Amino acid sequence: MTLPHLTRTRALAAVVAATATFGLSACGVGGDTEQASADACPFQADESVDTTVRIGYQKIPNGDVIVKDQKILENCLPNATIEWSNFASGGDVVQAFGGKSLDIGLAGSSPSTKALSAPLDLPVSVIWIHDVIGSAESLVVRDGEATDIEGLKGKTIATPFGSTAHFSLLQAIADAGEDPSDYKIVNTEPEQIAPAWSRGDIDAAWIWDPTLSTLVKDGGKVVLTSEDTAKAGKPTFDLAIADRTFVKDNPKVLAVWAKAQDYAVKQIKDDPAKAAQSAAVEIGVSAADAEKQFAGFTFLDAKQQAGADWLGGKLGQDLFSTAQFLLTQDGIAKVAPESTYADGVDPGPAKAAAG
Amino acid sequence: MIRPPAPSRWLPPVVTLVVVLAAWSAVSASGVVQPAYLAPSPLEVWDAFLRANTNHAVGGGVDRIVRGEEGYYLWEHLVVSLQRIGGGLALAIIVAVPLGLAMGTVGWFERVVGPYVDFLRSLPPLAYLGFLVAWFGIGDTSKVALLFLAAFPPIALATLNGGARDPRGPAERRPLPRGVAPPDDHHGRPARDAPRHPQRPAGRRRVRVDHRRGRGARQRTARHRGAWRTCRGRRTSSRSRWPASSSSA
Repeated sequence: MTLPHLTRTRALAAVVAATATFGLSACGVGGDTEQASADACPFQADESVDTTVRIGYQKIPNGDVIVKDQKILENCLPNATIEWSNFASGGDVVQAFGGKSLDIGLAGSSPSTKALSAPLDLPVSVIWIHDVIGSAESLVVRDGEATDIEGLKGKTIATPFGSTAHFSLLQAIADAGEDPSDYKIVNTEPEQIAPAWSRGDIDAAWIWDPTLSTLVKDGGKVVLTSEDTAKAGKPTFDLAIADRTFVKDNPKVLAVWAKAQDYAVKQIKDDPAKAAQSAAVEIGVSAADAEKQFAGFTFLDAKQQAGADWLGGKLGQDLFSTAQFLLTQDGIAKVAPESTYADGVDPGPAKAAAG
Repeated sequence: MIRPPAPSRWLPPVVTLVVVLAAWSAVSASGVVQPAYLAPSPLEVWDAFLRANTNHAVGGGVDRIVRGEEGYYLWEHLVVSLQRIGGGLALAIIVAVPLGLAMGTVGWFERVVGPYVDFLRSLPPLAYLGFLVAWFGIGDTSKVALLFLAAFPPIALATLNGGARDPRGPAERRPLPRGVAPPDDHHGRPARDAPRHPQRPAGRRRVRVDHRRGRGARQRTARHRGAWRTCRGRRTSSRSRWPASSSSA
């Protein structure tokens, strides 16, 4: 029995479509297949490790992207499988930890504090300070509008709520003795800030690159930076958080990881041109811009970090004050006792890399 | 010799394309949208497309060749997306088509399940993406789950409305009381043209068939089912044949 022509054509089309769809699943897509080599490791490689390490990174110019681009972990753990996943923000990294998809991730101090507080209460520890945010996040004001934070009263300031930039803005307002309700602070995603600025909808913004450079080029003037608020006692950071079980079960992986990060930090300080090349490739800016952006952060090597001023003690207090700020912003359900944040910082890997 | 299609067929689409490209270039060149990278010209888009499909120099003072976008060519990204779509769609079809059929045929099922399917259909998929990532992780499972959840309600509802649903109205669906014969459905033809099938009387009386008379009846029925008419030489289309099965037989 033959089918009428139209039914046959449709049946054939359906079979072809189905075959194409399912046949494509046999298609493997290939990425870079450079072989990892233990000789390329800048320190002693550890060939005994054969686990899978899932790392979440962001496109920020610090040691993490240098470790990724120069394949330091792949070379120094040649028998392990390293998986890098890109995330647009710290909030997405914390969400991935919630889905148990990551072992180590990069998140700012605000999302890291959220991870340690209710309702998330994720079993993670802060193991490394990638950078202390300095002029990389700044308050840009339209030229002529104001020269300090008091002059911005009643004006519209844009910033992504819940971020380290938002935290710095509110701390700056508080340090100047002003009331945040005197200002019109609007919640805007980084990509929306530049168009809003050019349309004239906003007068100022506390934001990071690449939006920061765009606004400065478009008639903006930097009035305050996160470095100023850090000096006033309210620092913001880019931190590395890691799953606690993973840290406990894989001390060798963490030791190599911390050594790789330490190496990257020293490269930024000693050979910024080479570091800028790696950062430029990963972030998508020119090498010259990457080098300029390095100046917006403070980088700490393993020895400095393990001390009491950072991972050894003060970071726990900084996370606690971040939690108090987040509570006022409905970012967390309640502030945990200070010991929770102190216990949430693990200086072990940094000490292993320093010693 | 095959004639190429007349210009009146292909000219309007080509002219429209040219006008659209010209308008696009004008908007991007005018600088009305700032910053400029938010309104790229067609050539810039084409350049980006070529870059995404080749090993290109990364530029910006860095002496490196990179592969496509994020280490993969654009078509490789596309293949992975199509794999996920195929998986999600296949699962959605396997679940939704039987569900739509069940909703159409079993009376109470649509009333019970319908509101939930409608609710799922109205949820924007990106709203529950965060939950899926938290439940299933960042790998392919959460993405296929999202595509499944987005595709499954429309397919179920299309199956239901496309044919599974009983087209009779509620009055016709109501069961008849005992002893009442169903209305004789002559399929749109006048009653006097109906084939003379032996009508089974309503109720449970057994009819004893006289096989001699039965043979003649069978012959007459066969004639009226079109075989006779065909032999007479008249072309019969499927529309002029009475349906072979009758609900009253």
